[in-house]
Amino acid sequence: MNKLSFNLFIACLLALCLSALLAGWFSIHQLLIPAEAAMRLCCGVQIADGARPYIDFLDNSSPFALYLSSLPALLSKLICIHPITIFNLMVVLLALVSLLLVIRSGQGLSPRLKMLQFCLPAIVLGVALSLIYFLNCFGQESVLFFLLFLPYLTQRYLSISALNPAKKRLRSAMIGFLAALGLLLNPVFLLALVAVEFTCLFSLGDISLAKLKRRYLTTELVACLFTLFLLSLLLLCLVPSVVSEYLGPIWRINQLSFEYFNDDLSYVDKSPDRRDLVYAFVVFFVLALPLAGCCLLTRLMCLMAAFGFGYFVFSGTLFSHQGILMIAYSLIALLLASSRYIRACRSAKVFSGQIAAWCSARLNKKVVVFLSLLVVVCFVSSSVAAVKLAKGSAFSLSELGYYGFGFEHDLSFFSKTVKEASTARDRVWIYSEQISPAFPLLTQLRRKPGYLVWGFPLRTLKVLHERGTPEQIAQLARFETTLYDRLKLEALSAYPPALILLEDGEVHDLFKAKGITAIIEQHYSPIDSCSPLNGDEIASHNPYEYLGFRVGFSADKRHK
Amino acid sequence: MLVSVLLHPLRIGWDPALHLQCAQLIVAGGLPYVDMFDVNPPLIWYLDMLPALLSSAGNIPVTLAFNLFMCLLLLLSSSLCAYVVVSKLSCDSQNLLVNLGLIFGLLYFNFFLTFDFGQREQIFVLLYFPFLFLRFARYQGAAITSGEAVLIGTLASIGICLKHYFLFNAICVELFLILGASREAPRGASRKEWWRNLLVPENFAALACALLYLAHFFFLPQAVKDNYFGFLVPAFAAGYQFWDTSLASSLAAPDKRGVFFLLSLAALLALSFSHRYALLSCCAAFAFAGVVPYLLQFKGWAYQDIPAFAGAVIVICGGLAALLVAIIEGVIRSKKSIEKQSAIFTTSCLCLLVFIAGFSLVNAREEYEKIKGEPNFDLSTIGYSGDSPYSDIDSPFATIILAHAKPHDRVIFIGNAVAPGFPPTTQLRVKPGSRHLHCCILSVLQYIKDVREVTPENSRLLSFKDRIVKEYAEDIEKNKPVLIFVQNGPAAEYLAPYNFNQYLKQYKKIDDVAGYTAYELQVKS
Repeated sequence: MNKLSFNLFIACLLALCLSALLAGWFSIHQLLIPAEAAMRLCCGVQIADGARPYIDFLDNSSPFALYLSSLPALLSKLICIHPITIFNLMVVLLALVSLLLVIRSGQGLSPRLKMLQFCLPAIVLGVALSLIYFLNCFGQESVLFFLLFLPYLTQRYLSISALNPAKKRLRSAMIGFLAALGLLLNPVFLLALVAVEFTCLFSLGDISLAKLKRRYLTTELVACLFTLFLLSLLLLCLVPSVVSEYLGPIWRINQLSFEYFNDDLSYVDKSPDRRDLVYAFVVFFVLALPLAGCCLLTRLMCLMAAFGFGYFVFSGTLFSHQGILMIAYSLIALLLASSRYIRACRSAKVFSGQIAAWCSARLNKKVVVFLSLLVVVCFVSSSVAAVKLAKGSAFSLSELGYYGFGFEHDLSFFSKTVKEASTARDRVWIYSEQISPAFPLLTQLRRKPGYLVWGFPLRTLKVLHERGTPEQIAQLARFETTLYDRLKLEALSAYPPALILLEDGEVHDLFKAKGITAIIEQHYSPIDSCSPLNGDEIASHNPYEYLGFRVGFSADKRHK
Repeated sequence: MLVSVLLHPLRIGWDPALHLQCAQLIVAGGLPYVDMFDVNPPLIWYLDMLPALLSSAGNIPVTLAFNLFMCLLLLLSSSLCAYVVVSKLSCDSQNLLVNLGLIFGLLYFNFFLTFDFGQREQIFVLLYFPFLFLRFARYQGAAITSGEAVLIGTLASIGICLKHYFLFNAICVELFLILGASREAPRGASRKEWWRNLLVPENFAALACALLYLAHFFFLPQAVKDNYFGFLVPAFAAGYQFWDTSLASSLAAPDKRGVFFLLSLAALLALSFSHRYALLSCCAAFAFAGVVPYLLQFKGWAYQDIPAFAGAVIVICGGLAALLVAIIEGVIRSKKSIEKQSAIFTTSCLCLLVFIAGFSLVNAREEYEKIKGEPNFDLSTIGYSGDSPYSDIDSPFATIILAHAKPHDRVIFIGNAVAPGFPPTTQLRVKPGSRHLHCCILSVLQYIKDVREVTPENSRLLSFKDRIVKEYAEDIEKNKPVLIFVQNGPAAEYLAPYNFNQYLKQYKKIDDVAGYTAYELQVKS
């Protein structure tokens, strides 16, 4: 084993260990999932049951994100394992595939690949550190995009630098396909593709037609564009009503949510204060920037980090998970730059060479055994650590209709109330202006949300009446009427919500004004209210990031 | 910019107006932190003494003198940058075009500042950028004379010392240059090169100037030191969080997020051309570094992100120039036509300059037409000649001051912010009636009382509140200001326990305006 293949080996080792650690962790914490991912998964479950997004249930995610979420739900139906567990393990698999694709691109004997081979451990380390730091955000849209798009960046680096082996077309096509899936998760991500291609274009040096064809229009780019086109066309042909609903009122609501800032967030402590993430990003970015000029790969990582910063600002709410892209990519850029700085230092180079030689001499023929052993050790130790760190008692998932077990502490706020007042597959309404505490609870406990999956349009519609133009209000009036009519119908239907939790204050007032509270008063009995400020709730569950003022929820249970 | 400044002789923002007022008081023999209370470090006041002196020497509005001073800074900054670019950096015409784009950005961002024109952040950018260019040239191996280095280093040091936060930008740029150089330097030589590039006249000049500024504090009168280091600095360190906002409001509010989107765009352009024009990346490092001081201050005030905004505009302008170069190169690709290419780049530079000049003229004419249609304020009312658009001073407070006070009369604003006392006090040539130019300090003390733990140090700081109210009373008694404006909200609450009305016996309430109660002196001395 020479020094370069030693780097590949180290990268593989890191990737496998990371995957084993994550798999071990999530095989014990079978119900652990962030709110947004849980919400999409819940939509995926409904799609797997035959529902149509924006028509049978209302959410503001892109249709591709929702349809992709139905994959773990479909698998869950087949093997009766909780969709959250399947989802988490699928993301672990994605992380492994993504890293292996990145590592595979460094394989080869060409001396020009030396640079990439030297950097591979840095890339894998960056991914590992980012995923572990953001473990609570595992499965978020940004994490998925990060993992799906990363091999594409490496592949583009190879193509533009003319290092791409012509025979590896299938792998390049797969990388392009994965990148397209990532881009479709959120329309904003498409800007990343534009930015990357813009940068790649000017990295060619002189832009001649021959160079453009040979280096620029490569398999991964064509595959990516083709997948984007094909999937969009497929969606348009198969479910045109879904597309028209998404591009109509849902798009408009998303646009207005961006336009009308939530003024409550101007106050201290009414939104998460993740300045530390921004500071880290700036420092990583600035330190990596000097290398960006001479290394296209570092340049692309810096670019994606800057895109991640824009995405963080664009999100408006600035939750931790929205900062994943800027941190992960800037960290990788920094590690790439650091590896170059280390390479420039002769003593460090000699030292790393000696370590490589020492390890190589001992591992040469036992690599496979060693790797397998290490992966098992990682998996077991991670599982043991997960069991030891788990809080609250364990319970069987059989009551939800699945194999496996979960921990009380992994459940979200208000789990006790929801468990007591409803059973698996019951419809439960938990409405506030944000995604938590409705999610991940409803997905974890296999409850079905109402037509309105969570209260995403409530604030915007309310603000619209105060600040919107007459045209804007008129445009969304039909949507608003349909929304409340559907909720009323659902409350009076044969499959009504067994339990209704409504956030006190504005959501409560809104439901009262629209006549839904009257129906609740008629058919439901109030039970003990719940509050995210309750000491027991705080002690029994993982904390979650919250916007605005934390207030209590009224709880009403359906008359028997 | 000059046309705009001359058309708006009274236009100024609240903070620059406050600093200018302090400078005027110093010119008149006042002592900082004794005859005027404000927490800002005094360097900006010393700097503003130049326009204050110019105003009194030429009998022109001090606001006009200040804006002319800013124009001079613009000219100085861009001339120095152009000098460095042309003589040290632009080895070919492509580089020249991109570097001119950067200088255009350095000038262009100033047009967007309106009421933040003249903030310390803007002065820092203007004074620092020649230094950034020079440091870059130094790392490129350009020959730099000691005179050039000392001049540019001193100016940069003045810029950095205006606010300690600016040091972060300078450190980031230096780190960028060091890391960039260590990558390029041949092995073994890098450490020697590193020291050779660091121990240079511009750095010595900057350091010496900063040390001189720090040393001057030791020679200030004891009363100044006691008030500043014994009270104002510790009080603001403990209670400045009174005005803190949230991260969401700082970055994502509709009126602020544009700057950060611009930063992302700047990064795209800088990175796309970084392999050819490293200076773009260096400017991008400066721009992104500007986000950290903005968030460290955590007030969400738009002017605090001026370095980030300016950096973004500079990089975008430079990046667009680089894009233009790439397009031109793409059109004329033949290697034989290098001379032709060079000629085209030179022509492009000239076209760019002509375009900028034409654009400026059109803008100036538009502004002139706009001003002509507006009601004017006759400057003879305040003892100057000429006139100014009334919209520049238009506020209910200005109306009251103009109706009840003459130039040089004294007026007090007791409010927990710099506005609305400033800019009207500076614009309308009235004098502050109290050493407390505003009562921000009372909010600071209230925050310490409400939020901080009770410690001997905090109790000591809180004991200053009685002294401040007493000083207000003394100043009213001694200076007999013709007008006193008391904020109905926080300030009135802070003063309520002291029965502040007892000091206003000679005053009659004349109006209730924009959250303030206006009192007029009944027996004029």
